[in-house]
Amino acid sequence: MKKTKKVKNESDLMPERKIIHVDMDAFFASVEIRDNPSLKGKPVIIGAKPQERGVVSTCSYEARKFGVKSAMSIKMAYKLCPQGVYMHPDIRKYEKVSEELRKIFYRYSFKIEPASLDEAYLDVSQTADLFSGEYNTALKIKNDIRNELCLSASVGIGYNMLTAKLASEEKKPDGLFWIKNQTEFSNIFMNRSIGCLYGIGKVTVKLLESYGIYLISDLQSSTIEFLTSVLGSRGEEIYLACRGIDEREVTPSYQSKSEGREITFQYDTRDFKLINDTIINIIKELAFNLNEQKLWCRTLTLKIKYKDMHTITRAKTLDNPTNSSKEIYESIIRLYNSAPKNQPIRLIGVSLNHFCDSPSIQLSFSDINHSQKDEKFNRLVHELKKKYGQEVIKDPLDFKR
Amino acid sequence: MKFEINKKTLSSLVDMAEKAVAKKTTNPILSGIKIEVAAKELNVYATDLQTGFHGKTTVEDSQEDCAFVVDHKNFSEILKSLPVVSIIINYDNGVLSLESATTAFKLPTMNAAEFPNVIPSVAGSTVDLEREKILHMIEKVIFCASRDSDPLSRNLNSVYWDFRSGGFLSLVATDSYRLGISEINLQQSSLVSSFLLSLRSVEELRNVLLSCRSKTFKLNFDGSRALFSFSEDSVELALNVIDSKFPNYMDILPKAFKTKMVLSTAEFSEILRRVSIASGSSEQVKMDVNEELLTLSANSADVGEGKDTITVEKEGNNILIAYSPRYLREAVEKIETTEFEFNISGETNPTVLKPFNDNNYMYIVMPIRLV
Repeated sequence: MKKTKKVKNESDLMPERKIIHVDMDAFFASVEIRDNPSLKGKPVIIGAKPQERGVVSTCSYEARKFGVKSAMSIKMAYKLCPQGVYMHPDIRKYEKVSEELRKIFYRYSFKIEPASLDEAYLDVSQTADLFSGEYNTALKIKNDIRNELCLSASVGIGYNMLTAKLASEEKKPDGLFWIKNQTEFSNIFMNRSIGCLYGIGKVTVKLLESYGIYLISDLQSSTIEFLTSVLGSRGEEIYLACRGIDEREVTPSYQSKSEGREITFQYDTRDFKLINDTIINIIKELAFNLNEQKLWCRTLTLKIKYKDMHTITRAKTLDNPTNSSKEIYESIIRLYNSAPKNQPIRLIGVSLNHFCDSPSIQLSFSDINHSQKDEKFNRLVHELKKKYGQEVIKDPLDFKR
Repeated sequence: MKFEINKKTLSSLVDMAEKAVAKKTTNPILSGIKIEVAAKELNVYATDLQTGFHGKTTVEDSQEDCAFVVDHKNFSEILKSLPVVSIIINYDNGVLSLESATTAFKLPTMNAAEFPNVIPSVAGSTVDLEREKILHMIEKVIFCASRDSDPLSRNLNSVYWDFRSGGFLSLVATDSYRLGISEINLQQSSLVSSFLLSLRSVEELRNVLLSCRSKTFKLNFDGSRALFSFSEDSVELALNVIDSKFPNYMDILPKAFKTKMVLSTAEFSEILRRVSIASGSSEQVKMDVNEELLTLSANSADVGEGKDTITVEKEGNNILIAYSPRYLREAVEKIETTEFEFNISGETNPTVLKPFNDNNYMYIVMPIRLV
């Protein structure tokens, strides 16, 4: 029997939501210009120096007038705009500004999903009424950013993440736009080209155009069966998107993230030394990434796939979040030891979940004298590894090999 | 072999045996209870090899002796479901039947000869204890014991019994984040010894203490097991001690305090309960002590924020410190005096809660480190 999907309206799917998308205008370039007023009015291109290899990561609006764009090679940019000011990005600095930005966002909502350093989604469904509605909330965010950080942002308000993002694009730079509902979405976008939708890149545009689909309204009149036959699994997503439907929830990054790595052995093995070494390598890498993002995790998962493809996973949730490779290893190896070993192992994987960024550590009696020291030591080891490479200092795990 | 027995009497014995029955076992006989009728006495035995239970009652009309082992869960469930005062039990050739006016059940049994010996002979020293007092002491510390039954942490998955000279008994339990001590002076006791009983054993003991009527009971300790005998109830419980070392809890008792307060128990538990609502998934409350004002506050991504303030009597420094709301609540619930002492030895050091002017109970809790 063929399963037919009923077309639903966004409102059938979930309660009415209010989503704000904040997108900083030419973020890296704007930060540089703010901190060095002599750059004002000049085409500033962040990425690399003209003689170096590299791509443009951001450029000021002045540079855009010359046709310079993000992701263009520096060589090409220089051809278009030889008089530009070329700079290397100072990621540390932008991260700091990004943190300040996040602090502003947290005044207006608890549910924030940063999409990158200069872009974030805020779910203000629960909180907008505290600030006289979503429009005023968006306006306040814009003003706070201007007054406190001396930067400009384009802000979009939508009833889901898709429309919030489209709204922030609408009046760039320094814009504020609101897409109130599906009818409004259709009225605005019906006659626009399909490329304006997210997930439809150049290749997809070409492909769809070959079927005579040029406009959003053409997409809207295509059936879901047709779209899935042409676009595969993405068909359904685009079928919904062209109607302004997007069910994704704004998820604070640390709640959704999980980081893991698995390795398939060249030959199925029972050799503990090899398995142990592999586990250690995986954990060292994962722990480094964790420290790099200043995150802690609480749940550790071990995955084992046996020779006959039978797969098991074993997880352990710790009392306190951790970022220490040693602690992760100790739990994982305990899980490994209690796992069945009646067949050779084909694949082994470790993943970390349940992240948090400011752990509140429940101290234990064994911390009475030395908890702070451990934390500082860990941080120092991480900084050293980052600067001089993984091998500069022996990881405590290297002694477990 | 056939006899009649009061359903309630048998049911209460079977219930008491419950915690002693092995839960996850590869040996099926241990998931059963042994019932033995001898010399007009009915004996019920259960054991998981760590905890052993024995209870008995008289049966008038039994003609001959018998012994069998029956699955505990099924037997107990059937027993409870029977809508009668007394039931007739018949054991014949490996089959157990339970009968009342209209109902009849037949159950398979296991061989009683394979059931391990539950109650050892008495040796070592014996001490008399009051049932209600000991139950009270257990209630005050048992919630602190670690729930982690991993073999590596079994010394914390336990309650420590410390009989000291001068007739003092302390019960101590900890999960390494908090620790509860309750103490009693037994007046006359010759027992000077200490031992660890697993949390499961102590839960079974609590179960029996709650079900029994005896005012006092005897504790006999022979170095490897503690035998609790309730003579009026004809119940005995043998608990093997854990061969593991309990941490030296005296070491963590703070020598000096930064901030000392006396709080109203009702007032504090009230604001704690209220503010905890806002702690949500963050599982922490902040306590800000500023002169005579104590403010509790909490915030979390899933709930929001909340705070409340009370006035307190304070000695020492102002302080900002954070705790797990559950760890505070569970302790304050155990305090029976109208006021209690809240003594802080630092933001990353133990805090001590105890009833005001009462040295028989103490709760030591580690704070949450604020980042």
